[in-house]
Amino acid sequence: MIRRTQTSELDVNELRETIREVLGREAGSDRTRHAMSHPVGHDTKLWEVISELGWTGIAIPEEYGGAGTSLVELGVVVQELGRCLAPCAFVPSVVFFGGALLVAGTSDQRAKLLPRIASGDLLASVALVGTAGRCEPGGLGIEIEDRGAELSLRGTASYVPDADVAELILVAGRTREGDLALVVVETGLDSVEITPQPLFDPTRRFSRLDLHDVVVPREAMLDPTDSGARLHESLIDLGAIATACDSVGGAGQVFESTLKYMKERHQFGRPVASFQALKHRCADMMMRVEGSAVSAARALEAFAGEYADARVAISEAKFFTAESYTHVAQEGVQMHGGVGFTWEYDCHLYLKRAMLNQALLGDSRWHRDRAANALLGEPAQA
Amino acid sequence: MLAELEAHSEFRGEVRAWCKEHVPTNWMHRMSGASVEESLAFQREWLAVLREGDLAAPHWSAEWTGRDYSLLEQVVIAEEMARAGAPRLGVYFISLFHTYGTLVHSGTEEQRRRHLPAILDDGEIWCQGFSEPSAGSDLASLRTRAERQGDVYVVNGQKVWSTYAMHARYCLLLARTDPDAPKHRGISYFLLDLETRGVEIRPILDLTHRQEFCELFLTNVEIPAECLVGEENQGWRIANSTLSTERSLILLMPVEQLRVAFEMLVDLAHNVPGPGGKPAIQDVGVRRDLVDLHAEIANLRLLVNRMLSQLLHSGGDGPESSIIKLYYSEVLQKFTKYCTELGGLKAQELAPWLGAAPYVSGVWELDFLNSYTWTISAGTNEIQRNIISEHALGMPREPR
Repeated sequence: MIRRTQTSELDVNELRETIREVLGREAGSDRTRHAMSHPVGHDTKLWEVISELGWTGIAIPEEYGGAGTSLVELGVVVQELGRCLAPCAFVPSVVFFGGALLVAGTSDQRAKLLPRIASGDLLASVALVGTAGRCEPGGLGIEIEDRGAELSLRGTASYVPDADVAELILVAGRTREGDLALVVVETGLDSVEITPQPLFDPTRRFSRLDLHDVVVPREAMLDPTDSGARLHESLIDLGAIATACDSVGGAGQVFESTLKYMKERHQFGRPVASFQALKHRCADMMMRVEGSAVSAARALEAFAGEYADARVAISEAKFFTAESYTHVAQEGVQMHGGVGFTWEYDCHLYLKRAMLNQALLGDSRWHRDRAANALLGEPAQA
Repeated sequence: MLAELEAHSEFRGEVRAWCKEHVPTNWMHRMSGASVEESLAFQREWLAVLREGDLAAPHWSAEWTGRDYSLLEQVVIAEEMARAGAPRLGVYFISLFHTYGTLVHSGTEEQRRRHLPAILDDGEIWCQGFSEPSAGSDLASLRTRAERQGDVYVVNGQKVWSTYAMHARYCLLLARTDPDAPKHRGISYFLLDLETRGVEIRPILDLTHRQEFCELFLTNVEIPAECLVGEENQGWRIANSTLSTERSLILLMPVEQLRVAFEMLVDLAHNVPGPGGKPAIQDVGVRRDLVDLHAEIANLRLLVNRMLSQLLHSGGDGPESSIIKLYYSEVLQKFTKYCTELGGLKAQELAPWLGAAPYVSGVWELDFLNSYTWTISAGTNEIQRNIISEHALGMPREPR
């Protein structure tokens, strides 16, 4: 299980400062825009820096070559990457794939793959979503056939993040018996087809994954003794948390840059930031930004500590942070005025990311219903 | 923070056991429709019980209470009191928080010795004399005048919105001592004995048809010079800077109470019909609304704890207390309004006031109406937004 260690708020703040300082040098608008226009969205130069500094292994136990800290530190990395819209496959590789192995990898899978994740050598992803974009098990489009020592996978998954650079993809599918299972698939196989699915958010790359009778050894399945449905839920939890952290980081950045612009921009002979009508909206934005930060922190603690109401905390964090991010990014565009509508200014990149985050891995309604079921019990059938 | 809270399970057990033994059962029934006098007597009794258990003022230092509590212990006490459904000491609100904060930070030793024990031991009630008819949001433009004449200050003027002044013995008073100085620099802070000649108190009927807040008319009222707090003309600074921690500690109980209140809302949703006649809790829209409110309450609680520990570490008069006040009051208003709406016509039936009740009492419409005491008093939420944008976000003031 992912470990929970006691980390003081002070250490976390120090870590945040360090990461922000590094990304201030190594990432940022220019690099993101460079990656946007590049055929490959993943910035290998940035990835080298991230790997060398050990961020890829921050939450991986020391026995697998990681730093062995908690999910809280990992959350800080994801937030900071979200702040600068860093173009790299960190979340799919480290949070999803690494997290899945920690939750349910066999000892062999962990020993073989976790050190490679920790060192940054392995780029990987997960396919949890069917073609309709729904993330509940019923929406999956991959069929898994049990052939004894081997498994055969057929069908389509959509919206697979950074599949174009991933060496391995963890695929969620259903067996003939209707059970849910998660299987590691190598993307180098001829029977694996990856087709880009460009989204309005130009800073991220998603692909469709078609599996044409992909045959893998049985050992490629995640811990078969555990329930696949439970694993799938855990992965959605991890993804929701990562999305929440990304939203917190992005909202913080777009808020700060909007404030900065409003203090510099003069109209009617004074800074735009001095108008009370706008100041009050900024105070409200701050409430959303602060609320998002504690909401994501609650979700991180809940996942790591396995609280009884962990699912409530995680789903609430997903919709609250993504909706807050959207609100703040919308205000960002509006308060920048005309330049907020240009391609040159970054406001639109954050707005697009925020809208994507709302839709990713269960939209806000879906997560409200998920939280409601965990909090209030399932509704009676009509 | 959550982990640290868990570590206090032994202490929590003690507080819970105390509550089980001492929180009066069925007090809500007794206080339903209670007169002001009955409610007052009941709060006085409850304060004495709390005092006996060293729980009357967990945020006060051991010098006055015999026991120091860490912030985490204070949180635990607030949680347990809220869960146990303890009565609220509304009438001691100013005494326990504002008077204490002001005297500890800016009072003299003599002032502290005279007044602090009397609050806990004798239940002495304080009120606040800040606002005036022409000085609400623009408090610093207050006109009540205090003139030094020998050993006394002679005070003339009018105050308004002084909650429970008619029951109070003392008043925290702001008055102008230097009319020629810039408006923030000519105000002084006084401790006024309301039994002094020249003080007239008139209650005002509020929109819930109760008399809680009052007007004060001050005519040649003599305040002894030793009742000045801090230095002359430093009143504005004292009123603003020494109270932010106390203002936030005030919210520990109400915020915890919101979590209890959420359970009341769930009960309500089980018991009122939703669309199609099924219980509202089965309705997808209602369920989503409940999750929204739940998320806000959870965020608020974490925010309060985080900002309180920041305040306690750095002291300071940062914008934290404004953020917490704004967040709490808006969640409270949204929550009580939602409950009232969900309650339908049933919730429109006139119901008696509950004396000493928490801010969410279950008399939904009254709770909703009363939520305006949080969004308007102690600096309207619009003023809080000004403070946040100027002090936390560094946005320039509007030209005045």
